[in-house]
Amino acid sequence: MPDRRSQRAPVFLWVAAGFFVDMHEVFAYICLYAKDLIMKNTLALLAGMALCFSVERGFAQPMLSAKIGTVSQVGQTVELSVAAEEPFYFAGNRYVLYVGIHPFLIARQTDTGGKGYLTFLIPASEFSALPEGGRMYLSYGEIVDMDESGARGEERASAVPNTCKYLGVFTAKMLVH
Amino acid sequence: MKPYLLFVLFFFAWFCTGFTVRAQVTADPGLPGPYAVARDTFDLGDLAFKPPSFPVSVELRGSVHYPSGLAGGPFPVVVFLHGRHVTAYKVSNPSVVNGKWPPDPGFTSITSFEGYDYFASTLASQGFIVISVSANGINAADAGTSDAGMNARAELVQKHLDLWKGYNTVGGTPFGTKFVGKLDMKRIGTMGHSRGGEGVVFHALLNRSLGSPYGIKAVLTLAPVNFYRQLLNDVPLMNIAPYCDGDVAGLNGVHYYDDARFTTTDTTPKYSVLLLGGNHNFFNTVWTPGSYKGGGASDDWMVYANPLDPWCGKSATSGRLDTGEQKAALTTYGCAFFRTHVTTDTSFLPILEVEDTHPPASSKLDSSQVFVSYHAPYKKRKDINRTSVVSNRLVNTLSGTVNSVGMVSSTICGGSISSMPSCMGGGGLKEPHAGTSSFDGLAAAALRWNNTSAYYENEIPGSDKDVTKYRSLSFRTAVNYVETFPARQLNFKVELVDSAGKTSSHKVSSVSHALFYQPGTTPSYLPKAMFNTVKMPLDSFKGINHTKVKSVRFLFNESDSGSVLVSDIAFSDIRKQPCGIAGAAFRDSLGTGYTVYFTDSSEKNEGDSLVLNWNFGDKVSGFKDTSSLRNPSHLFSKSGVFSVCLYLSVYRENGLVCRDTFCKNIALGPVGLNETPTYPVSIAPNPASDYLLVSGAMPGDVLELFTQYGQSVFKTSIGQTRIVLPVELSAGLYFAVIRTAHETMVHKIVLKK
Repeated sequence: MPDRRSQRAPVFLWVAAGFFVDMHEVFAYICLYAKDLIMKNTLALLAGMALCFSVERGFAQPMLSAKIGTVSQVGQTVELSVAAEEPFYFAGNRYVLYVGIHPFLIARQTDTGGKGYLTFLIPASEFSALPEGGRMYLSYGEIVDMDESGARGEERASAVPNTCKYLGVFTAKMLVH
Repeated sequence: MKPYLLFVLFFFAWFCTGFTVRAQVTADPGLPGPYAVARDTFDLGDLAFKPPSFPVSVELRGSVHYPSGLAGGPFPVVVFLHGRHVTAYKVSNPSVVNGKWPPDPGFTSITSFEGYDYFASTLASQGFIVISVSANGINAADAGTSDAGMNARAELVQKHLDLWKGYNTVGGTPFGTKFVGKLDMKRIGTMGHSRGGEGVVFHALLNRSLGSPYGIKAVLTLAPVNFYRQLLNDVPLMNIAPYCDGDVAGLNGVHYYDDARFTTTDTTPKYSVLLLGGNHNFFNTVWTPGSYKGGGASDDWMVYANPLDPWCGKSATSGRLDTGEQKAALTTYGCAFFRTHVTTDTSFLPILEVEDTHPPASSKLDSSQVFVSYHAPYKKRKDINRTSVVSNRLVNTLSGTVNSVGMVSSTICGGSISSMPSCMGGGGLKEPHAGTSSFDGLAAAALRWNNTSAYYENEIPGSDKDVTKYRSLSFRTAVNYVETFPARQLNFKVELVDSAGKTSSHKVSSVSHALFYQPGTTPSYLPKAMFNTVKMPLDSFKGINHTKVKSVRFLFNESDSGSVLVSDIAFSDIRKQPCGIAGAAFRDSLGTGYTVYFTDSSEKNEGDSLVLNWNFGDKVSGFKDTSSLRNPSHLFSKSGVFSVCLYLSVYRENGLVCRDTFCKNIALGPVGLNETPTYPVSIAPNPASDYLLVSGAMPGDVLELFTQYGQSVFKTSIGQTRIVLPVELSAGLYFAVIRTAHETMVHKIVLKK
């Protein structure tokens, strides 16, 4: 459940959403029979874009604005903050921060001044062992079989952008000493 | 009136019913019962309880629904635990919400615990006391804990039960002595929604770890999370999964059912209910848009997933249930579950055990919208093919041959099978039964065909051919939508073949809609392949000899091509015994030395009394060789194999009605290093892996392997020195018992994999 209603979307977005109803089905149909892998991927990307435009606009969509915030060390724990322009969902599932294939599940969830924050608590020893250049995703709910290439994350992020966001590549230098 | 007019009227009435006459109409569990209902709330403070495992204090607050006047108690109890939701809203602007606890000044708490009042009211009208507890304090702080607050949820439920134990014995604020003697704390059911679902699983395990001070008789997980994959056995369990869940979109609760299936000592059933158009939030009125004064409510599918999905989206032609239908469905199936297992009402078993697949009228659903799956307790079924290990592709659980004739492919997938960890290749939200990198999922047979002469056959060996003891043939199945082109509902026939070659068959579609093509097109989310039980009465397979059933075939002659996943192929449901014993049985566990503890696990009709007599087969122990206790222990005089028998007699008002006997071999290995075999037979290697070398044995000698709990897992005549062990034997300690014409000897061996 989102924890705050946002402004209603402009009328033209609803019109655009209506347009994509049929487009979505068309994309799904074509993807089903597409033999060429590249074509499939291209179509999947287009379908994802279609969905991106067609998501419910009446509710907070914090994932769309999520980005890495501060990264600091407190004792033996690295606190990696992800910030969003709206409070994060406060509901049944868990937020998971992936660095490569490494999931991090423990995070303090707060909102201040209408903005949302997830502060992931990462043991310093694990943080220092994370792969430099690993792709980072924030996901609402786990991504089964997350892979180093980030293909699973990319698939989710493009298909259902409300629940997955690519946050860039990891570097240990983001830790502020 | 003239006779012919009566006939015409009768014919007209029959015509108007649409020609259908249901042979069996099961009572409707969702209808209000005979009691008027009263409701109270209690609030001992926002920070009244500090769960031992949690960093902060939380509230002790809740509501209670009960039969008005409380005459005629004590009443069975059901406890509700809601899930994770925002905790407070701004009084001056209710749409402003947050997740803080206790509420900030100017804010007031969101009463998620009141969101199931509709269900509590129906249960109370049927004679339950229903307590719904608030868990906002845990929700506010659980994200920063390593267990997502699950232990705290368990501790919170236990604390409430402690509180109500006090109300039930001496009374207390705010109820005084109103509830003294009115709650039956030995008959309790629990229901948890979302994170509360995993919370009540943790609670059942916590209560058990404390020596079961409260009688938890049934656990219902409603659209639950399952982060930690705790195994909950030995208590009836129902999971309800809403197909259009946008929040817990992986429908992870299916694993509570899947994981609990093959524990041989579990005498309790498991149920799974799939609501094809349900979402996550509409079970709770506080989380449902338009039905609560505070904010935070939403249709989770629309927010998280895809409002444009043709099945779960918001179009008028979608398959979504409205809020009323969803609440009615929970009420109907929840009442059936709790009345069956917290009380002893057996009226609704046909619904729960998938014998009556017509949803009760109170559910407002039809049989294409709701699917119940049922896993019978071990002693009430005979597994034909568990489809759980790779070898089940060729050899089933009964050691019968598996034939795949004319199939495109027939494999075992999922589960712990490393070469194919998910059956459809994707896993994730579209394959809820699949495992993760941390946990195994459901293993199944993946069957694909492209011609109508293809079939899949499980042969039934030896004495297992007599299936007259069972009422049904059952299995779980789902369409493999990845391999089924074009997208459409499938069908196949189930055929029994007897030893004389006679056959009898029925289409799956004659009893179930389970072979539907899963709806929805949202990438990463839909469609989802959920397994559903198909159950066929064995009596409906006519014209064959049920004492000599040679094989069970799936004939793929109803759809020219397709692909399905199948699991849990079994003969199920023992026919009721005239005397009411469902089958004498017991469990045993090793104590110190040669002491063995026995636990009677027989089931009997309510009201009957049992007289038990045990014989431990250990004559040397003299008068101690017998016992009339329900759960005795016995100190055996030496190592060896003992035939332990339990003799049951059932009495009713008018005296003895029947007897039953259950015998089982108990293998006791040598204790201490000084005890050495006297017979010159040796076994090597030790530890062993996939074979044993036996020397000194004679033709006709028998080798049998027992687990350390006395369960026989392998038996063979020693015809040659090298004995190949079944691949499905897991690593661990075993007793190898060698029986010769003169004596029995026991070796302790270790299997390593």
